[in-house]
Amino acid sequence: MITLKNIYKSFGEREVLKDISLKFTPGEINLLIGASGSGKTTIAKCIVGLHAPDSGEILFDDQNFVQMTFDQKRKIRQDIGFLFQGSALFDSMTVLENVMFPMQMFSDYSKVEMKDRASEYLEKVELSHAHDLFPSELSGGMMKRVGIARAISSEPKYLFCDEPNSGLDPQTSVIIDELISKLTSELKTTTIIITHDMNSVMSIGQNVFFIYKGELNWQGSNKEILNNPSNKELSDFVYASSFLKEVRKKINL
Amino acid sequence: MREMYVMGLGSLPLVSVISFFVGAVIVIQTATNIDSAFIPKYLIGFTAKQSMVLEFSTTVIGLILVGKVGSAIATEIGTMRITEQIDALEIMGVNSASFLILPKVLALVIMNPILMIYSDFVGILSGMFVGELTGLCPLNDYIIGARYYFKLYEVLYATIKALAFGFIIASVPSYYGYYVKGGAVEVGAASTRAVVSSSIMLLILNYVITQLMLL
Repeated sequence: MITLKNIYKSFGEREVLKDISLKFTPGEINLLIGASGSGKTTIAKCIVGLHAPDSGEILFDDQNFVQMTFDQKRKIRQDIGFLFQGSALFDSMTVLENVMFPMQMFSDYSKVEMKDRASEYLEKVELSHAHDLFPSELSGGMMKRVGIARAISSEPKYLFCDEPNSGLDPQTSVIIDELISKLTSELKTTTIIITHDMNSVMSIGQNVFFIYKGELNWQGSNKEILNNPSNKELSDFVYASSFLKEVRKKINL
Repeated sequence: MREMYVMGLGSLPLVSVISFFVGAVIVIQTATNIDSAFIPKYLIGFTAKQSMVLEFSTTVIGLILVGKVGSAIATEIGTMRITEQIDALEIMGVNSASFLILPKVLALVIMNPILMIYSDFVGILSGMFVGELTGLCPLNDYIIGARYYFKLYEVLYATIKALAFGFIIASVPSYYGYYVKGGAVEVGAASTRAVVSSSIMLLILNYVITQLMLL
């Protein structure tokens, strides 16, 4: 289980995270939502150790990640899969090699076993036909799916997805959301998704954390999110699109 | 091995062309400048060999490789940084600096002396070819000059320079690429800074090694 206690983080004079304390529900999808620049990605990068928080604790099953040695962090990181916003696939490797890479680093599988397992993961994301393609030959949606296959290939306990739907059309976004949801229940991972896509929130937001200007403003489920007209910041965020504003007017929310 | 192939063997055509023409030009310039009956012709071969071994094949080829290989390294690693590929390695628990930079440094430290020796041969042979073809230096005189006063210590000096330059050509651009922040413009700027800094460091190191070993 991942728990954050009183996390503060600044970049120079700019305070990005202010007293963030939250607990992600294990084995389920957790959504960090908020406007661009609200600090969502910084939270995720602090959790995985790409940024060091100025103060506070990040607990992985009650072990404080911040105070761990490099080797201890390395061990924890083997349990983490991360899908980056831009997919971050290795340009010089084929799709299959990208998915095999985490196994090459940490597993004792033979090359044949690794290939078989990588093919299996590519099948899960419906990319069996793309083994030998290079990232430059893939569409945005395909890159995301390869990124997901690579993230889950080390069989992680924790799966982080940074804006998995950014730059994708609505239909592909739905496919990606469904895929993440399916993999979370199949692999029993604790999935943390950073997004500002309300479609994702409504379809897969079991546990939602709303970050506003670096602070945890609200938490609950997607079913509760529409019933908070008193929370102005959340309400403004949820009903930001003119389409939803119209819907809201019609139903008098 | 891949890095050795890309950075070492990939530079062979460029090194060949430059070494060939420089060897040829050294012979023509030397021959036209020492047009005296009192100076033996074999000095043309001697000058070509000394120029190639002591300075051209190490320093000039080094500077050219900074432009070709160094900028490619800074751009490759810089692009990996801004597209979060380095972050991806870090999250997987891979020591990204060691994983990305060490193979490049090792590859160039190994391949640069080999390129240097290759450049020596191409330059000296092209000088011989041009000397004979133009009639500026007969073949026998050239060979006598090229073998005259051969000191193994000078080859050792050149090899040490090539090893040190190989380290600079790989490590300095890697540093600039690894710590780049921003986007494509910053990667370009980092690549330029890498080439300028590496070139200056290479020239300073050339002077230091020369003073230490030849004075």
